[in-house]
Amino acid sequence: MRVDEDELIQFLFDKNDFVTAGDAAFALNVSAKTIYRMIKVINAHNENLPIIEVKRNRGLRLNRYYELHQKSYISNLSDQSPIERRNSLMLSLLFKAPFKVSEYHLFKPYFVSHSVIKNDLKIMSNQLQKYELKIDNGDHRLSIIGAEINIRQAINEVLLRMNRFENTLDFTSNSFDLNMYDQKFILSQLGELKSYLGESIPFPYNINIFSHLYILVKRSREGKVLNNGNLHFDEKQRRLIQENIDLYNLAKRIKINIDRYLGTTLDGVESLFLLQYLVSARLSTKSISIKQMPNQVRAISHFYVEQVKAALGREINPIVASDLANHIKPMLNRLQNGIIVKNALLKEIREEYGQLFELICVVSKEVVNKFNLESPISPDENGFIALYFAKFLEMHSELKRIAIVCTTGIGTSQLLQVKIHKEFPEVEIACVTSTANYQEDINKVLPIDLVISTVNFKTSNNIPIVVVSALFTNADRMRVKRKLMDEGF
Amino acid sequence: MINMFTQYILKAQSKRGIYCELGNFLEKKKIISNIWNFIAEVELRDQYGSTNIGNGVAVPHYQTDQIDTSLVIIGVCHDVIDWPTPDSIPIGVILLFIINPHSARNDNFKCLMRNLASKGNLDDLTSVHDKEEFLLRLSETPNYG
Repeated sequence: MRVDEDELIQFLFDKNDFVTAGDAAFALNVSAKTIYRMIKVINAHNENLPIIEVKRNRGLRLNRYYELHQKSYISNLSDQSPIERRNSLMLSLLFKAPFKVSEYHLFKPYFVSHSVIKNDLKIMSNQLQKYELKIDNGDHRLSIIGAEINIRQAINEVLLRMNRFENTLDFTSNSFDLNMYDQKFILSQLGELKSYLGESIPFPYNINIFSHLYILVKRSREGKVLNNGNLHFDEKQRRLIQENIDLYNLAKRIKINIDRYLGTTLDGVESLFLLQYLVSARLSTKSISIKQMPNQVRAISHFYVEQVKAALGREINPIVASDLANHIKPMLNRLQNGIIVKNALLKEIREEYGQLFELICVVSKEVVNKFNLESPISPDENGFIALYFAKFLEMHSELKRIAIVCTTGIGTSQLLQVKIHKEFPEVEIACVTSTANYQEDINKVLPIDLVISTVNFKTSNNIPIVVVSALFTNADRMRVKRKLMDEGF
Repeated sequence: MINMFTQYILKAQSKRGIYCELGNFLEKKKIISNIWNFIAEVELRDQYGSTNIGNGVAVPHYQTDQIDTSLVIIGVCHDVIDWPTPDSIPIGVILLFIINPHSARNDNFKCLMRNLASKGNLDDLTSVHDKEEFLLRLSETPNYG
């Protein structure tokens, strides 16, 4: 497993104090030498102020000054990367499409050589192929050519990749190039949607709509949105409008507002685009029982529940299927319309519920095949689905039985008993014993799910063991938590 | 009832030095017969896992059946000891547990350890002056048994 520098920084940030390199290495599952190598890399970014302090006999600690400025530091780091540069370049081209931009002016701020420019263009072309877009490079003037809907999709995905839409408040920061008027206008439109719907649009769908409107405003101003002239909807789109006539009228209102704001007349299809976003958001007033759901939604929800049930060998309450259906319905809309939703918790979900997440990914693949879905279900969507099951499993987890062991059964194990009882009130401490008496005592209290010990030794009956320090630090707590979750499967 | 000795003040500045000092004391009191066996055993236990329980307190332990009942020796360090601690508070108090695994009073020890884990009990343990005060401090919290 490759551990990146961010993880070390996060670990030290959590610790908030000196940690020995050995402890850090143990927690991150790498060697102490790797830790030192990482420190060297991290500290090389700032010559004046080491980000990680290393003190003899005490260990490593995150510099307190750095902690205060953590966020800005990380973004500075990524700004330097070629991937970031290409994303920014691609964005400015996409927004200006189909207008041409001179290659010289576009690349000037980055101070890169001709070969780098050539390489960047090649990589960008490859990335844009996915959206059926082409970079036209005649006479060193660049422009992107393709259908408007594909351009929008590409912009949306690049923006998501750049992590710009964490929350609508991000736009108030100076680092973002959205002007104050646009920002206020878009927020006012979200406010209008809220007052008509009688509820706020839940996260992360509010971000989706914000970014959609932002792209629309910026595209209309910088580039040229090709106008189809006559409005023609296909069968599917007409049905969508009929089913959600109220939302469609609302979308039309917003479109007219935007027309007025920009002083132009946007294509009528914009109302449909916005409608697609609205039906893809999980609005709670729309929460209906599973029986009223379309057949496909019902079938998919049940399929997920059945598969997870079979894989875990555990009974799962039908309520999960019903909850899930309320997510699946807008999700199918999103897949159909190529709307991407970003899951800000994805990393945490992967860490905390790794096995469950993997399972959901596998089931999702089956779902796509079985139900002939138009596009694959993204990891972000899988993360959301995993959360529905994780919530249920946590609420209905079986009582875990653990044994606590140290060399004497009197010393550190007794101390741990109190700490574990406080941290994990849901586990049952079946026995506290010494390594010498382990075998004898454990047989009396079987089954045991997990052994927590301050010393390493070989357990019998394949019972997993977590070795922790007598201090029971945050890292220890996390390891125990992770192990307890893993054993749930 | 817990058998307890207080040994003020440990002058050594290293972990090994502290163990030597405690070993000498135990040898004089005829609790152990061979100081080197004692040091090797305690250090071996430390290698398995740290006995540092935070807030400047360490609880090394030594198992023997040469004593009738388990006992604890309290040592307060005079200087900062060369002893790495994850919570960066230097070790100030050593509670050395001499444990006979078959002693009838071991339950009292378990109780003592559990009380040590209670919040606040480890704070300022260095400021405790004698064993009565020490015992009083540790009996303030309810039993977790």
